[in-house]
Amino acid sequence: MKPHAPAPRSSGGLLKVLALLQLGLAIFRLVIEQASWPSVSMSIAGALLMIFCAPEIVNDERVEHLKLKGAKAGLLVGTLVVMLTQLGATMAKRGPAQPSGSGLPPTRLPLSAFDALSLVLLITLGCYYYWRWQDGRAEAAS
Amino acid sequence: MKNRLKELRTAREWSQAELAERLDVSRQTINAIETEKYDPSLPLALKIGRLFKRPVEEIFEA
Repeated sequence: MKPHAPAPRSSGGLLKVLALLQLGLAIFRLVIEQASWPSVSMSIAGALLMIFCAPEIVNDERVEHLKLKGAKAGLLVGTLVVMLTQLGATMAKRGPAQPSGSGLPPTRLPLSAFDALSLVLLITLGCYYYWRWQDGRAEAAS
Repeated sequence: MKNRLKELRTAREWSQAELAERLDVSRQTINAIETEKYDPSLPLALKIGRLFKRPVEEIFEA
């Protein structure tokens, strides 16, 4: 063991900068160029995934633990929200009872897979940075 | 899990940042362990024990 060795450093900052640029570009395309939402949502999901996967400056076991904890919360809440949204959209389109045998026309999903991924990643990253901020805040207080 | 990390660190007059550097972890991780919000992995607990020259069970108790 090297007791005085410096903590491991990583180049995750560059990946985060690239992800933020991609996110900014996607929002610019949506607002200024009026680009279609499906093409923009793919870019947003990709940028959020890059932020999530980018290693921290000191990428230790606590970071991995909080990311996993955040991903669990994000998957649980995100999937629940997507299911409820889908259920709400289906109920709103159903209307009066149909005679048996007349199948409902296929309805378009209110949220695409990329929208769902973005939602899950937003919750995950929100939880992760909140817990990380709490660790830092308590540290300053102690 | 209760631990004596803060006590041992302050006895050596190390800051959380200094201890974090010696253990190759972040300052936030040291704080999370000291405030008992996080239980370190076995390799990290062993590293802490070796750094303070004490058995792990003397630093951490269930």
